[in-house]
Amino acid sequence: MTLLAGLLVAALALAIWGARRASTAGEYFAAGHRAGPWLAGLAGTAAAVSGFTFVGGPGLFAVAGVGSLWIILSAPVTGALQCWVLGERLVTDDRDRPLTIPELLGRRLESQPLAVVTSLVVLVGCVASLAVQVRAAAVLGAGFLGLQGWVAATLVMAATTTYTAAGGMRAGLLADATQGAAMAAFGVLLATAAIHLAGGPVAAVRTLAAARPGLLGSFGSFPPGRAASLYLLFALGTLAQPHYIQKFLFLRRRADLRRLPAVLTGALAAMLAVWLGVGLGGAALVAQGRITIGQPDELAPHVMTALGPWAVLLAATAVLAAMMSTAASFLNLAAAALVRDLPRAVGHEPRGVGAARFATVGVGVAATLVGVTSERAVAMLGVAGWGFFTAALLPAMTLGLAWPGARPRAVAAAMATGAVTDLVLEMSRASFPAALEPGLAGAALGTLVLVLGSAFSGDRKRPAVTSCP
Amino acid sequence: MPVLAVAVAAGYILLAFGAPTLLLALAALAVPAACALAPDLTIRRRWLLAGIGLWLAVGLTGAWWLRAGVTAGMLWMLATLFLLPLPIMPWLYARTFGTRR
Repeated sequence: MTLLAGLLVAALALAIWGARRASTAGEYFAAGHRAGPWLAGLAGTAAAVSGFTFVGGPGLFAVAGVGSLWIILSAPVTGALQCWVLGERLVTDDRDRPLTIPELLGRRLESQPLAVVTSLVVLVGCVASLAVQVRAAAVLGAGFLGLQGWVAATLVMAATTTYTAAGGMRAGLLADATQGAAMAAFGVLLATAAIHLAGGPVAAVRTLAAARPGLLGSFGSFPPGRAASLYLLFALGTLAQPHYIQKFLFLRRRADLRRLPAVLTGALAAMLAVWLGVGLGGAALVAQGRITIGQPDELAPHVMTALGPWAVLLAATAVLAAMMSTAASFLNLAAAALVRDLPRAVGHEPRGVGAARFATVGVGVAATLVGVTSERAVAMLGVAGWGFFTAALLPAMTLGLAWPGARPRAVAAAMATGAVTDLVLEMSRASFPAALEPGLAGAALGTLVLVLGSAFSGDRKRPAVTSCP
Repeated sequence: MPVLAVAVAAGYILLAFGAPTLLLALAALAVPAACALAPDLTIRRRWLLAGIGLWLAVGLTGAWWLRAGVTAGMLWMLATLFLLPLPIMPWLYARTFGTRR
């Protein structure tokens, strides 16, 4: 409770600080384009790493073993991949840059229907992804803090919504970067401690090799095809996550991109150490009979309890930081879609910062209601949220921006096709092969629609592809 | 560009249903293909992308080859596909970063 009380006080102070500075749309939605590589890298990684990593990841290791690591295996590549494909296309030295993703695609492809579809995809995906963070906070409250899940989730969302609504991304960037630094440091510390508790890495591996060999090998309990599919989903999917792309819009100048992958990769690897360390150490502790878990999501809290009160405090802080940084980005993106992108797409003037503050609060309340009533496991919700954005936005953010032959209506159709395919396949997942990830299948169908639609479209209006939007 | 994108997209759906293990090979193709969407695709970068494809092909083939090795498979996968590229990829990006545009 002391931790949550401190959190609320800090959120209030940050809200007051941010409210004075975020008076324009540029400050509120894009932090005034004033971030350097360290700030953007730490904030971007903090927004990327959610409660899914700290709660769902080690739990998934207990079930699928090494197979679960294929989700994070692309981490060394993704920082450079994002900068190559997106960063170098989006970041210029020009101050008049887009503030949101629908605005970016709208300027690039000059299409009203595309702007409407993009705004709706961002809005729906953000509310669903926020619900994941709420669910993670509920598990955190029950597992780490001894609170009722809905109480913890409501308090955490209230704190996040307070500073995000008041200060937008001007406050959010500072909070995210601070949270990212804490998550990286605590992630390495907790992973090391969990492995040490299990007798060291060699003993932990030997324990699992003897008791549960099916968790080890190259693919754990996953078939190779499913592991490859997860690798692709989380490698290519980084190009389609709005909360990742948003951080490129915060950068000061193009030269900042040079060092950004180093910050992104280093911070991500440090945070993901939790997945491997607590997953491997925790699974070994379960095999040794030193801890008992009822369901996978209980692994991380039980390992922390076994480590002692200091670990519970650090883990709770890290999970709160992970959840809040991700939630802040989604709140801001959803508010931007509601008050800026959708009105503009239907021919109205974008609303101001005041309306954005009200929209942020509304989105926060809606997501909290969805999240506390959800009964799906945190891990599966996390995959579904990531997959939705991959399915809907990957063809648009890659081919749509890079291919001069892409046509606006075909890009909009690809986005709608991807989103609908992902939702349909998620609902009937058991009927399809394990290797078919709904997010990738949606992106694949969307790509086919984009290319074929552009090739056979009568829509020949297309701006020249000469520079960044 | 669109031909390769269609090949990767159609290949994913067909392989997921018909030959899922071959998705490992598709991964070795799709990641460098995505990198190739970079606006500044210099000669150095083209060589670098070929190198990334080769590294992935070796790493993923080794993972499949050692799939039954309880510790060898895990160590290969972590060492080759995670630890080795961790410092190298950001360094290569910085080395090939251009300031023009």
